[in-house]
Amino acid sequence: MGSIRVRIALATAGAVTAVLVAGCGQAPGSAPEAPESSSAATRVVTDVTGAQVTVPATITRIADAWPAHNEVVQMLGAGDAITATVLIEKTAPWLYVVDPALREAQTVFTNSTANTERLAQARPDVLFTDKSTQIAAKTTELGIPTVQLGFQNYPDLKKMVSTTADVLGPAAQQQAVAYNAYLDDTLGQVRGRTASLPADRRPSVLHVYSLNPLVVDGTGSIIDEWITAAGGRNAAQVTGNVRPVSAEQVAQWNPDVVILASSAFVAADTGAQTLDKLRADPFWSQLPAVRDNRAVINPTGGWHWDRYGIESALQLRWAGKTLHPELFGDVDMLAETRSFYDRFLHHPLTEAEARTMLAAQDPQ
Amino acid sequence: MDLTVDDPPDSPVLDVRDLRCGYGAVDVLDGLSFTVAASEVLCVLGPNGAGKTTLFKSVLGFLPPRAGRVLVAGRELSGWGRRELARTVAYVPQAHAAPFPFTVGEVVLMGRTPHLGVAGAPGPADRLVAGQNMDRLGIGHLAARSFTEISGGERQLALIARALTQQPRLLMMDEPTSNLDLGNQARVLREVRDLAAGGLAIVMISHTPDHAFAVATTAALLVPDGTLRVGTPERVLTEGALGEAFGRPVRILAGVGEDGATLRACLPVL
Amino acid sequence: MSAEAERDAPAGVDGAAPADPWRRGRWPVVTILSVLLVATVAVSFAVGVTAYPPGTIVEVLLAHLTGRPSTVARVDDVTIWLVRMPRIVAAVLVGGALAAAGAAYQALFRNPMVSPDLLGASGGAGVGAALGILLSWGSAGVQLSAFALGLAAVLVTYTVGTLVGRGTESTLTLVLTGIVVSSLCSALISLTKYVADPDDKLPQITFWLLGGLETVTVRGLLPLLVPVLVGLVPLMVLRWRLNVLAFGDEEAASLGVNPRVVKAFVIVGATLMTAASVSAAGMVGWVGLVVPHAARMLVGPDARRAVPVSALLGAIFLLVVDDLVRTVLTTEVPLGILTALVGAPFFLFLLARGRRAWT
Repeated sequence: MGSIRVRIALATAGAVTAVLVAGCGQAPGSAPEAPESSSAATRVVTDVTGAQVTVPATITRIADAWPAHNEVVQMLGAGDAITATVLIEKTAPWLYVVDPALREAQTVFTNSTANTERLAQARPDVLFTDKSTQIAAKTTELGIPTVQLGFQNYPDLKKMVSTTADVLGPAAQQQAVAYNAYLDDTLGQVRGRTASLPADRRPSVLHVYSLNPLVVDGTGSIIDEWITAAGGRNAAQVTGNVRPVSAEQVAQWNPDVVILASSAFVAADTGAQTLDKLRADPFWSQLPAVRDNRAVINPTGGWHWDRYGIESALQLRWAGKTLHPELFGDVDMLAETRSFYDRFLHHPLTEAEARTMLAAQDPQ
Repeated sequence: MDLTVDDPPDSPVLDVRDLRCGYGAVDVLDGLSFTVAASEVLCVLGPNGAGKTTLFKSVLGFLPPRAGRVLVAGRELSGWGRRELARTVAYVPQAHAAPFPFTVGEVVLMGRTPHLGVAGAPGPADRLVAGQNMDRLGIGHLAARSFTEISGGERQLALIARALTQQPRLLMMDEPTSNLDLGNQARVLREVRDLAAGGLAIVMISHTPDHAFAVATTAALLVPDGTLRVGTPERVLTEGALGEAFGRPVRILAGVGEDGATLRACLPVL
Repeated sequence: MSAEAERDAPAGVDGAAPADPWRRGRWPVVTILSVLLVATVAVSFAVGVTAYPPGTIVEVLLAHLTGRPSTVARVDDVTIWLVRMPRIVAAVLVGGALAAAGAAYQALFRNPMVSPDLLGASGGAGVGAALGILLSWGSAGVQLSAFALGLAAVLVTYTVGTLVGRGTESTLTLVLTGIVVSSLCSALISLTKYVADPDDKLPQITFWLLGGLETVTVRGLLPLLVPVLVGLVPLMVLRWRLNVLAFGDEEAASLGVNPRVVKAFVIVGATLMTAASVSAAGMVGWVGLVVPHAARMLVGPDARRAVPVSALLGAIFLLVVDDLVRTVLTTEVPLGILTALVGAPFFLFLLARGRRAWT
């Protein structure tokens, strides 16, 4: 009789699952430990969630699920150890120039998914991930030391760099100290020069993330932080980064300067082409900032200068010089960029390359 | 049929006394009294809106009475459990289509539900009862066909088979001949007569006085003021009473059937 | 029908009795699907980035279930026991739960276009998860809040629907209230997406709304297994009564079934299963709608077979789809996208082929 068979089938299925789950209780302890990894020394790192993560003393394989963080690993000297990543060459072409080893890495993450099977097979010594992801519980279960990171401002950016260096070892820690000192210097210099500016000499700046739909960066973001440091005011009176706004709001804010992020470029347009279109657009052409040539393109390097990444250090000087050329006459962004890449990213740029980067163009 | 009884053998299966019922502020029926005993067929007639369906809902327990009593096998309706009641009173709705294409066999088998435990499903013994009832109504060959694909007459027979599968003592049939052609009407009426002969008590709603003359032992005529006239069909369904109830004059013609019995038919005068 | 009409066979004892002679189709579908499910599970353990021979798989499973020592390399052990096992078990549970709940809901509401999230279970769970992510509650907190709000949404639907629908056809009111609650939930989800940090929280909410099994942990299987099995009980127990309900509340009542009680139990069971599935795997669409149709095409509408066949088919379907998710690309496509890509055309195929399944 059908229903008896059904009951048997279901009972069996239930029993099998129950046994499987029951077996899980002792899983971590009874899991066959392979001898290969047990001999090595380990160290303990505290991540941004407060978790104590035990990582091998020598890191040879790295998985990085946080796009902006891959460049941090490269800076700290372990770029060629990245074997699993969230990046693809199209999203960060300069980083692939700087760290060609990334081409050998498997892309196993997207910004919302993880291929856990490929990740497990890649056997990373450590996984760096954004603290908000839901995968940490799973990757920890897989036995991958998972270091969760995150930052919203410059002090936390430095902590993120230090924590990463703690994972990677003494050489990385030295480099982290150097970078953090450079960032502090830059912040100090830029803020120092703009500190005495009265409110009426601080231009209002609109940072455009996307033109269609119209999306801008508001207050309470790192964008707001560098605008302020560079002697400007954020024109966008909305809170948070990447906020959709209306053209009406933009007209009302009437920014003195418009900065276009590379994400605002339409299709295959270059920054210059995008600016041309903006000047021809019925709405934007009426905006004084655009009409009077106070719309500029934000540079993009291994990661976006204007967003949450280590090249934010370059963004500070660039923004200062863009908003207040009179105060930053001595700053040569071409030289500054080349020296930064040489010193921190282990990849000397040609002058042409630096020029391309400043124009937010992909490498040739 | 299962005729074990827990009440005195001569007491009626259905005993309705001074029943009043209705919806909202309106009393549809008031002061109704009648009884139906085993082997009796009560045919309820009346114009549209006179309250035939309301009466059915009261007797089936869907609509609580506002006054008076409904006794099934000598016991107050409110004293019956739902499953217990379904083993005594079976309802044959008007032929309808189900939303899913159950087979005729499956539909008839659903009549076993009141005999099963809450968690139960029908077994071989239940299929036997259902099969017997299908055979009895001559629809055994349809058992594996889809209930949605058979004709209206066959569907009505299947619903009767389902009701019989409940093994009830009282059958409540809601217009069992509506929407059927002449041949199917005769088929259903003959089953009604035979089932009563087998000991069932039957209450059926009809729009056709002819059918009451043909099979009913008792006729109940609902007139628009909500009162009920009960008696043998010949006494209740007179030209005068029917004309008054339906608001149009009628004639009743008589003929002789094959076995010498009197056949009556009612015709409206246009 | 029966020739041996004289013999009154005792019910339920004779296990070897011939199958119901009036049911649709002669095939022992439940048996075939059970075997197929076991085979699919076996294949799912074997396929992936690395293919494993049966011996290795059995050795790993035995080692973990019995504590026997194993010689399998750690990476293979991790892949089989920690990556594939939880995904396979979760796919079977979630697929089976959504499909069985869908079959029960479709029978209960006498409407083949109904899906298990009809009364707002998915929508509520979605709000719960989005809220949990927004407030940085961690993955256990997110699951719990998804589960709680999924149940709460159905409770709201049921309470409001009963209040609003007093005295009218309550099934229709219930369905309409469910639609209102669901749209309200999707508006709330959109609101959380709007206020969410786009760099930080938004991808996580998106992941959750599209569904996926890669984050299911071994430990997370128990909170999925228990509600699914508990919810399955009323569905399996009451599935004969579910058939009777197809004829409407009054006819069901005349057959000795209390429609309110059956509805309440089935709704609670199906909601429990749906909420547990959604909180573990996100919003995986189409399974609960399409699979019951396929099941009814195979075995007819009789819930005695349609419910278990739906569960088995749903388990196989989601397992196969998740195997594709796991193996085809190096990055994973969200599960919900693939079930929609497979489910929507399949539904059209069913519409074209089997209109009879619900006319």
